[in-house]
Amino acid sequence: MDWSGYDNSQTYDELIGDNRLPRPVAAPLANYLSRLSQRQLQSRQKASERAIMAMGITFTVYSDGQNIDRAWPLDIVPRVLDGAEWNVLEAGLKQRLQALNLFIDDVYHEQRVVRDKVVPQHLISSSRDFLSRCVGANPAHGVWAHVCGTDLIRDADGTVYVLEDNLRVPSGVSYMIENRGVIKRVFPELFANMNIRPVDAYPSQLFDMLASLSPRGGDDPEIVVLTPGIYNSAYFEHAFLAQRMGAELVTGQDLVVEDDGCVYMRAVEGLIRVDAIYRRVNDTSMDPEAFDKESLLGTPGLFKAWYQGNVAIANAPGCGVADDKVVYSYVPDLIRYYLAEEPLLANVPTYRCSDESSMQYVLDHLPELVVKPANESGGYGMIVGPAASRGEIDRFRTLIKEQPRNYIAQPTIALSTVPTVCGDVIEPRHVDLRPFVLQGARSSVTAGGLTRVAMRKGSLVVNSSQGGGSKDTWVVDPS
Amino acid sequence: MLSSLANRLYWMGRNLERSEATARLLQVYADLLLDLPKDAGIGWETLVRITGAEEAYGQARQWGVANAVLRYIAADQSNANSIINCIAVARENVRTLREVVPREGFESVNDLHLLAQKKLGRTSYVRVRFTILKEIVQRCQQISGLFEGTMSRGLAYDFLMLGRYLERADMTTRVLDVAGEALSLEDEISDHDALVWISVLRSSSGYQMYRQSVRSRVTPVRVLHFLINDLSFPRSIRFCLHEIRRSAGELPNGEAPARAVEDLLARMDGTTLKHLATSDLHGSLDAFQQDLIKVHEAISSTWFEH
Repeated sequence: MDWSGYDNSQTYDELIGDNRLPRPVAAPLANYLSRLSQRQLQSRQKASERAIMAMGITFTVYSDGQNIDRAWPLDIVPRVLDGAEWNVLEAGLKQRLQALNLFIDDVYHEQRVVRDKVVPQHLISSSRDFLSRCVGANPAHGVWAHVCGTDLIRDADGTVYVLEDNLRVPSGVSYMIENRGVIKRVFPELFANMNIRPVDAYPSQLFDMLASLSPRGGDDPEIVVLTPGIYNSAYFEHAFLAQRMGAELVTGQDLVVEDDGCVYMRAVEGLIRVDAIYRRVNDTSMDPEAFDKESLLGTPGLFKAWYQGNVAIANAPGCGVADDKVVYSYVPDLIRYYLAEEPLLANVPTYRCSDESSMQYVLDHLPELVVKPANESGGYGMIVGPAASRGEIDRFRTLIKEQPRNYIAQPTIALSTVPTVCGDVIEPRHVDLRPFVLQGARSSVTAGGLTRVAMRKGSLVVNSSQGGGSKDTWVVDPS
Repeated sequence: MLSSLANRLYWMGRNLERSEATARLLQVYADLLLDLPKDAGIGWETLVRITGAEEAYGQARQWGVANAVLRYIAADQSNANSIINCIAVARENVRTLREVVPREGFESVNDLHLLAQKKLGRTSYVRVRFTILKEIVQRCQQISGLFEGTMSRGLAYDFLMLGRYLERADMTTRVLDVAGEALSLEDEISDHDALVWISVLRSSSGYQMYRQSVRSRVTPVRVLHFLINDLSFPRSIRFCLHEIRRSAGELPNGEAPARAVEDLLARMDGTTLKHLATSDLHGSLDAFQQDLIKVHEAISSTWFEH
């Protein structure tokens, strides 16, 4: 594989820089790849696919009325990040989550942020995920969002932006860890010669974070992972994390709230009290008593047990109020307001359709912009202007006029590329990056994160539910 | 251990055992029926009765065609006890048990499921049935061996064993019950009755072991004794009950299930073979089955529902 034929002229490439020379931090990898024949490259890609099948690394797709377990798509060429650059990004990610947590806590208490006119009242009153039942709750350490998957992208000029903060039930971290396991088998020589930061501390950091929330304290907290069940698309990850933490994997039916207001799991030994719940279900499927009366899912009384402080739930109910693309647009202001610091990470410039002048700008420039609903994730319900048909653009024009609060717009960001095995050749493909940030008594960030890659040429859609792939991510320090 | 997890282990044990037993039964009877005259008093309907599927079958099919029976028992999606469905349930169970069973266990059950889906539903079914049924029996045995050879003895293993031995005891009573109804229980039996009693033994994998331990002519009373009481034969009802009692003793709060097992053992002790063979075999076996249901209920209410 010779880099002279690699066309990185479209945008910033993470591995190959000007004049088609490898970036210094990626040089050992690029040089190694350049010594591989096409056949060797193919056989390494095949070996990684076999390893993924054998290790049972799957994700579930709902298609044609059936749930299908698909092998996890992994491209063998890693994405490489400079350790010094990463240190800044890591500090910025912690800063961001701290501000978001102060914001959520404020929203459910005095709402100083509204009183001081940092954000408008309607931001909260019209939020779909503001849960009035949570007002006055006091989760441990004042932290509501304990696990955050923050999506980062890099523009053509090399600037890194935060694209969104996923606070509800962000997934992907198990694939980050499994990707590393596979790639270590594919390129053992490189791991021996480069200083690549390890990623597998995450499950124990998650455990420690959850333990720091335990209402009973003590060294031996009972921690469970709450899953909607086997048909959830991220079930693999739920089982993976439970196993790596040594926690029980439970569904709502395994839990019961007794008369003492505490949460117990039904075990063959009898009822066992639960201290902390890492929940991977939505707010409203947690407790039919508090939310959806019709729901068959969930544990009656769970919300009350949490509100009274008898059990910790991560992420806390109601924290979705900050996982909203309009709130997103205020995060730099929130950092200045709560922390009295300058934001270390930039936001993508964002037009709020709720502001009249911005809305007019958005309506006038729809073919150039990306328009997103305030409250969806997974790439659903959005429109990429330059790629959209006239009909789609007209449909969004109507939608925005009807419910301006529900939409934001951003300029189309080019998204950086990474060399990717495409059939017989290596070509640039667009990527994003999802690091995972934890906050309990302390904060921590994964080394790198999950790099998602759009496998179709020119495509910017990286979601695995929509045909995206993934890459191992290396944070490399000088050796 | 979570009750729901224990419940899934138990049912995985039951469903794997049921798949294996049903596949062997089909194999043996399909073979036997080729040798029997049409008025032998035993036919394809016997199979449906052993597998407890008369009613469903009656609704689903016209009677009498070998192919239809085979297909119904092996591959019919509407028959909850068909092999294909038992395997599918076991596979759904094992998907959620990846943390407690060895990785090869998950893979093997998954492979078995893929095999059943691919081959059991095929139309040229009679022609290839022996190969497929044999393969299913072998795969199930391989999976049992894998669990025995690789799982630590603990809660997970005990729940798996509870399921396996309860299902096995149940299946043995069914096989005996139906055979007893169709056949003479006199000591002097016709040639083809002898053939059928041998098939009864073979459908419990017991013919060879019977020959080694009994060393005389096959008679109904001896076969009954062997399959009900022989403590050295791992498919006899008594052997299964001892295993259930042992597992229940290892588990927390196992008193009620152990008591239910004792009740059935006491009933078996009080039922002499002479009585079994001469008066009311069906009534006795039916009582055994009712007691097995009570053992299941005790297991269920002790560990799964509270």
